[in-house]
Amino acid sequence: MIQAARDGDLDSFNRLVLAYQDLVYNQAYRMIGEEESADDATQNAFISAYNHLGSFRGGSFKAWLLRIVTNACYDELRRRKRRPTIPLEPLDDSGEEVESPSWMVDPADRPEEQVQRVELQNAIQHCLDKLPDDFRSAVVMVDVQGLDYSEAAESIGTPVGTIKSRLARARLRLRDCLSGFAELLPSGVRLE
Amino acid sequence: MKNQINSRDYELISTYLDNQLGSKERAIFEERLKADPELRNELHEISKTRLMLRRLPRQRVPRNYYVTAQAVRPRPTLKLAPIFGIVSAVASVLLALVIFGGTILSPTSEVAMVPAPSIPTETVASQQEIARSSAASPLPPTEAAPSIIMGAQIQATPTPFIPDATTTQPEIATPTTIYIYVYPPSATPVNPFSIAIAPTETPTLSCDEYWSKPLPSSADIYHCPTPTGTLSKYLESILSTSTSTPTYSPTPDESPTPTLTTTPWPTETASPTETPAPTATPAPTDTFTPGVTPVPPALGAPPQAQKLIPSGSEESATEITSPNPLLGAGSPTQAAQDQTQAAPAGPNFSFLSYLLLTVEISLAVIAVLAGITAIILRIRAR
Repeated sequence: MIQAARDGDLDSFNRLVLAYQDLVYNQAYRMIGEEESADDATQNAFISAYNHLGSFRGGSFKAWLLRIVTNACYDELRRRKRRPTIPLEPLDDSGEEVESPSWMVDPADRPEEQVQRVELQNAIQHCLDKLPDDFRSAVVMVDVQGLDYSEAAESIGTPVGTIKSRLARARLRLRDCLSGFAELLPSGVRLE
Repeated sequence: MKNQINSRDYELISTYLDNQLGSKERAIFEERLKADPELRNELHEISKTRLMLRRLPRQRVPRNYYVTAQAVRPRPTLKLAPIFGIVSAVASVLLALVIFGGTILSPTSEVAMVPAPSIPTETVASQQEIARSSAASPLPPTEAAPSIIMGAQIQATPTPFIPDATTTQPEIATPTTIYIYVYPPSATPVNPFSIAIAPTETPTLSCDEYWSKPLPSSADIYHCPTPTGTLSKYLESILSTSTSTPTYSPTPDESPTPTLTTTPWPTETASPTETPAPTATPAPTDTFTPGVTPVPPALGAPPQAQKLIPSGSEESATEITSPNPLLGAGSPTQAAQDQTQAAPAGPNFSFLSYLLLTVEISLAVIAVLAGITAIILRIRAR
């Protein structure tokens, strides 16, 4: 199927899209933290992948796709830094921003447990967003996407040793960040 | 206690959780875990963080990301990149050939820069006639007439010093710049065929005299090196001489020599003619004065290199070089035009050098630009 797509068969490539779009979109979403931008990054990544299929030298197609979408996310994040957007977080009574985006969820329509799970996911995403881009891409690939070190190294284009180092530092920072949301964490994984 | 755990320990913890440690490292690390409760606590918290990340739910894709034919566009740059690369490579090879090819082909580049006088067949034939005429010449052997040798660029050669110009009509193939080197009078007559050989004897002039001359001869160049720092003056002297007013006449009593741009070329060769005897102290002239009837150069005229620019007609060429007064009494206007065209006299060494330099620079620019373009296209294609 990959070879057929390299020969220009668009239908074959679209079958690959169906097989990998969930992986690619989740990578983009965890990297950017926003659905709309993740949607754009995913679409651009697949178009770029089709245009550059000739440069695919074999190996892990999944890692190759993740590398493309990660680069697309870097571009999106750089664009955001050049043109910062107004944060959507509301202000509390004292005028401070409410960092937790859980205000967007309507708790009236959901059970308490579901609300807490959503808040936890938002807290994790919040901590992921605070990581440097290199750390975030490594931890998302290994811990969220489930890639092994070699696949992550191939996707990011760095040695395995670099992946180990970035992953350890990213996990440590996440641990420190999530300790501030201890009340949201389940008892089994509550950090001390 | 936490300060005792460094970044290396956290990397070990992370690698241990992912089961990426080797058996030996793993055993050592587990020994440390048993002995260090703080390290064990850190391992536990990092493990919970890792677990939370792995429990993150998969986001559902909002739509299918099919790629349509309209969304993808062909990338012609992928095909252009190797073309530019090939162009760059070819230009580089040509540049190397231009730079080093001359050295390989002509190891004696110093000599190669000077066009060796060549003798076309026509010239040899005319010189044979000159030899025959010299045998019948009443001139004493000590009187030597200017001998003529044609430069390398001669395409067709008029025979300027044949007494009867009508019997020796030159064959002019194409209008071409002609350089005629007129050798100075010689005390001893030599074989006419020897005039074909470039002068090999040491010039009679000293180098000081040579450089003091307004028009140094080519032969002297072999023996007198260019003084340091005087090249510009030398070029200025050439330029000023080329455009100067008449300062020289072959004989003190005669009119200026018509329409001949001259450069001296001392030689020992002689070419006997029937023309009158030379004067002892010639004064050079190189421009034509309108209104004055041009006369042929007298015997014993100073060494001259005559540059003729035939306008495509034999008549004009013969008119310039023939000693016949009738032929020499051409239109002053035309002669002046010839003089104007003959102004940039001398071998086109500098022109060839500039042409070579231009080619080298062009090839270098092409090679660099094509290479950069190829690199940019390849980077964009990624």
